[in-house]
Amino acid sequence: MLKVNTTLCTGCHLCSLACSLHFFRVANPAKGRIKVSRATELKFSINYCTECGICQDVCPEQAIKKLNGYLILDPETCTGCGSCVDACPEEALFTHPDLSYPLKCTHCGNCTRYCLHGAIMID
Amino acid sequence: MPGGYAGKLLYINLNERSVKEESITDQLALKWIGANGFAARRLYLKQRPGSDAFDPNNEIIIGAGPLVGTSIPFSPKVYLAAKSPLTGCYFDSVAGGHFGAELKYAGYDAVIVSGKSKIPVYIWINDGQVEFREALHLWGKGTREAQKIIKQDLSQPDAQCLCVGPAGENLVRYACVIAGVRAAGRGGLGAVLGSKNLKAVVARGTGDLALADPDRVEEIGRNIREQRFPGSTLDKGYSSRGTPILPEIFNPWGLLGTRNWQEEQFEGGEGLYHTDNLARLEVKRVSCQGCYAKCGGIHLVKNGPYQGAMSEGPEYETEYALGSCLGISDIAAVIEMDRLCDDLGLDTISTGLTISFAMECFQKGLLKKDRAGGIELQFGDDRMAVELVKKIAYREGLGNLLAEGSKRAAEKIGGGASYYAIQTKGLEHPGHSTRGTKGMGLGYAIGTRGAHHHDGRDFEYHANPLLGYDGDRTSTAGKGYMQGKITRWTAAADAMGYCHFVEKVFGIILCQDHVDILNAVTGLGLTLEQLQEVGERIYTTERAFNVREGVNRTKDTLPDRFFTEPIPGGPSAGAVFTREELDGMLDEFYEDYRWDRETGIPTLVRWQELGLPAGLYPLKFNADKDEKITGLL
Repeated sequence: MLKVNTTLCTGCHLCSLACSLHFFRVANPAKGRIKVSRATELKFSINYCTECGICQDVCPEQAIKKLNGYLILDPETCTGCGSCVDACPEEALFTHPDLSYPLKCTHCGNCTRYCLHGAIMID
Repeated sequence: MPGGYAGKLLYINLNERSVKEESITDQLALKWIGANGFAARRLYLKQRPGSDAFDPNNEIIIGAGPLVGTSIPFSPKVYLAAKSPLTGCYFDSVAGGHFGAELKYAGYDAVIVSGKSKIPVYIWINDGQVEFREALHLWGKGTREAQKIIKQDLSQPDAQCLCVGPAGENLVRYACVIAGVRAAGRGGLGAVLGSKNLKAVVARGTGDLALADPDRVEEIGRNIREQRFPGSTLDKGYSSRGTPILPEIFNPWGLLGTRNWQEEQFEGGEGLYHTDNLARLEVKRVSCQGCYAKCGGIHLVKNGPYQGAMSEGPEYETEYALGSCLGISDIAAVIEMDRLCDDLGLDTISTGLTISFAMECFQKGLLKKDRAGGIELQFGDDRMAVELVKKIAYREGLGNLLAEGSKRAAEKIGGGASYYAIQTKGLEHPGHSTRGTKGMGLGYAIGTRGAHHHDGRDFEYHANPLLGYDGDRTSTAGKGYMQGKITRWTAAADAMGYCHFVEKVFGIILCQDHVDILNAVTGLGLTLEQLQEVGERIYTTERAFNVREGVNRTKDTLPDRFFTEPIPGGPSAGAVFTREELDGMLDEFYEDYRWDRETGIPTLVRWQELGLPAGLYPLKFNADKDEKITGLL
């Protein structure tokens, strides 16, 4: 599972870029399943999935199911109602105008390979 | 459309508040790549020679190259280009940070702004939608506060801003443009935006940047992460400490500009860079968009008279310009001035060197206390320097004179003051020694931007087998040819979107790595020779722009001090630049570019070989319109 240490984050956004490249073959942080923002001049915040399971609980279509230990959102079943996005306490489900379903982290760990400063790791 | 590009140019006319889009063609991309390349082409075609830099009809171009916003590291840069109010020449000023990438996600590779708004405005570019927004409430505000208000007004915390401060509004000739907390520092382009009543350009976007070969982009990224970057100078040096490692190297060599370059070793140097002084103030390290390095350091002054001062910096150039060049050894004072310059929107280098010029004029009795508004301009007086920075931004008292830059201020002071203005083509010198590093001196002399450390580069410090060069910084042999190779790299690098620190990974000339990266992202299929030609085409076009403004071989020179005064003490004592040395290197450089040796003007033959039309040749271009410029020959 993805683990984060925000104090080591330098704000390069490579995690979101790597994610969009991995899943969509483009460069577009807005299509990443992790998000970095500059909270203050000295602090970055990272929105990432902690697998708390609330999204699964609120999904009226049962589109979010556990697969190989992680909750996976099935774009085919998802109706794009937004219940999970609104409910996510980490604000870690991301919508994009090109997509009819929200993006959820699969904990594949690809982004961690791009983070040379140890801010995100896979446990 | 080639990969890496957002695909569109955005034309904005502030007179009419109109916008127009144009698609980027393969032909345009192949010939000019982007950013600086697009800007050089556009300004050469559209800028009327001889016009004032604040003429409302002038254009200012904001662009980001094809690598910007992708996962290719070391390529975050946004370029601003216009006729400089400081040099009267072509000027491209560059900032790191995140604006360039955001502009591309918002749909545009470059924005071309012309005209002048009747009232202060800012431009809001939101995913392909462009709005003009009133900025009366932002006018007079510092860059930090203005950006904060803009993001609140728009309810867009993730938007990225380019912004000018009071110095830009007040047309200080070396006002900078702030991108987040990074600066497009040099050349006064902040004053150009100010002259257009344009407070800020704000971007937010969610669009894709397509990649020609995503698999190859991933593979290249992996190779750099695992093989090339680890252990490189960028990794070992800048990534952990940033550019402040440089004065720690230069001062013991006796190459740190001190008290307006009267000396080159600063007895107070350790106060600026010693770990006990600077490193203990570091509170955070930060990166630009998509970068593996974290060369940005945020420093906070924790006690003393400047307690609370915080800046992302100071960079090396600021430690030199506002530290050693002013005889100031208190790093806290430098951080305070760095913060002020960023907030007020001033270039730290020109600010420092213009103040150091005034201090030396005071020292030499050319600028008396009464003319200096009652100020005792003593080297080493940090409290006075801090106040003077504010006066410059608001053009108050002596600040009004100094806001013109050292060259113009010297002309007004008279009595031989020009000797103490350490500038080339109007641009104040950065902190790499001219007398002690001969190739760097040549770079300052030929730079299209004037004395700038990003045209001709500091290759003397790079012991790189690619260069076929032994690293002897005191010799001049072959350095004209070497700067020919380097300027082709810098011009092409700027067009692609690179930070020049990538030199610490791939070397300081164009190589196959750059070609592979560009082709993987764009699919343009360029060869190394073609990329070198793009660099030469851009640099030649910048030169041609300047030729129309009266630049020729006689202007490719250096401040008299460096020809007449050897470095007085320290390990580099005795080093001086001779006019013969400069002439020899200029001959080599012109030969390399096939510019005319007598005049330093590109030859028509080479101009056409570069695919530039004979009808636009700089001497011909104006022949029918402007006698003054033909009279140059």
